Amino acid sequence: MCEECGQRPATVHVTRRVNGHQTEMHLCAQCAMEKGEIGPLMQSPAWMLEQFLSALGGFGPGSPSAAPAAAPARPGAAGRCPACGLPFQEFARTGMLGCANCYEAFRRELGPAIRRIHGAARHVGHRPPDGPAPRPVAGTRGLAGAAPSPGAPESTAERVARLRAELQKAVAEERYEDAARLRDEIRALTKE
Amino acid sequence: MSAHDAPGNALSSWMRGDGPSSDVVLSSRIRLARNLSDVPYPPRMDRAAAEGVVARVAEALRGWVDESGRPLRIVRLDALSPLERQVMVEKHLTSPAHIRQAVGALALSEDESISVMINEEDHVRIQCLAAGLQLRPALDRALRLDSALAERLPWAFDAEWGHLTTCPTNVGTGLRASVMVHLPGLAMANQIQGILMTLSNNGMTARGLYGEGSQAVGNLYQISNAQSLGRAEGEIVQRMEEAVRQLADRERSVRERLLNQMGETLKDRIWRAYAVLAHARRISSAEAMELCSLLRLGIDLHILPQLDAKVFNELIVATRPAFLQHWTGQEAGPDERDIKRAALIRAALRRAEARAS
Repeated sequence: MCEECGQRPATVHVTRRVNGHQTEMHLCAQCAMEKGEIGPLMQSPAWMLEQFLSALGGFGPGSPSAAPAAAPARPGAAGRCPACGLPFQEFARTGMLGCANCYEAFRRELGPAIRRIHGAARHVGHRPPDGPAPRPVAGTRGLAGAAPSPGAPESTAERVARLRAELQKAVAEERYEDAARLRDEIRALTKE
Repeated sequence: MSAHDAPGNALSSWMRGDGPSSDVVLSSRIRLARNLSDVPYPPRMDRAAAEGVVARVAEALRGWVDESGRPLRIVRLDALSPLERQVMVEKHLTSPAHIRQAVGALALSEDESISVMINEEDHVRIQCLAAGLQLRPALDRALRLDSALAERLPWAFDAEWGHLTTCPTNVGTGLRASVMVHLPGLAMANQIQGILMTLSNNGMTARGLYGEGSQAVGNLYQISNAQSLGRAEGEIVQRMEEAVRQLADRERSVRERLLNQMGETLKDRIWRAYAVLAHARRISSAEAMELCSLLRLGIDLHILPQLDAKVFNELIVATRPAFLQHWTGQEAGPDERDIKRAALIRAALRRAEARAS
């Protein structure tokens, strides 16, 4: 537990040796930043997680609006993942999702926070091949409203069409960074 | 090779002290986080589900061989003593979170450069380690193993967010690329803060050697990519390699400058560090790391011609508390550990000098 605020878990440990005397301080990332013990440089994964939870809005431990009264009413806030039963509130506390379907169940809440910490909203890179078809989480009601089958092959034409639609949407919503990325992606695909 | 060899040797072969830019970059590590789409994630699965994951991943690994043609060896965590598990952490083959799991396993290559953690925070974490600055080759090896597993296991994957991980800070590529760097020059020149700030402005993070929450001991820093979504694996790794190469150049030029400006003072500090390490009868982990850092600087600047870089890596792992206990074969108290540590360091230095002569 943080020695300064006594509320958040201590994720930053500062050791000082002055004239042979060693002192130790255990702080949460937020207090450590306020005391100038760390800059943005000592970003541990725990710190990233704290940022993520803050970005979820109203629920993160690092957020001053963590008090229930100040939390905005949001539909997903009281919800549970239909597949594994994880309450959104628990996720907002731990930062750990319960199963693959949680991403679908909490898509609306997760979207902005994911975009904020990654600075991007769409995966680029390695994809699984056409492996075994995805199955629902065992002993549950299944992948309710799952996204288009993961790993399903998408032809280049389909992909370009999808990206074009996204590009239009991005421009309409003034998400120019995304638009630029989509434009480049389309360019690369149509060049091939 | 038995299940007990891995904790027994101080050095995995990827830590022998060679590899590109090894005067600054000690090692490179790639980690890919993967999950099964049809089982709750580790924080929410019961014992039976956890056993199921271990069995399925072990089965999927069957028949897979690394570049040397050897299969991975499955080690169940409950087959190791608590001390052995801790040694595995200190050797970077697994993590503190993993060894706390009730049902978990590791799949290790013979040279310990590949380690698959089963039921860590994610169902599967593929880890590839390499000496020096070799992120790209390590990435290629990890992706090769990932492709093989993806043929047999239904990875949780989303068209928009890519690989779905337990913690959303890892979604997308599931990639964490890290290098361990030794920056004694920049530390002496008080330039660390600025450097780390620059790294963080370029999508990288830096922290002390032994993972989360640890302070930087022995001027060792681990630099990793901060974001895993939105860039392809190859691009993430290429950007990091470029940044780390620049960092290494800067560290080298600072070392040269220090040598030119305060040559005798620097040499004195290095030889004094050597003298203490070679003769002390009792030494704490923190002091050992600090002096080992000076020793390594002395080796890289050819001030200590009687030693090679390998001894440094050996000492860094070997002076960690759990390894030391394992090595001494008993549950030693801190005071006793300090005595054993000093003995181990003296012996390692004598061996290194024998190698060189």
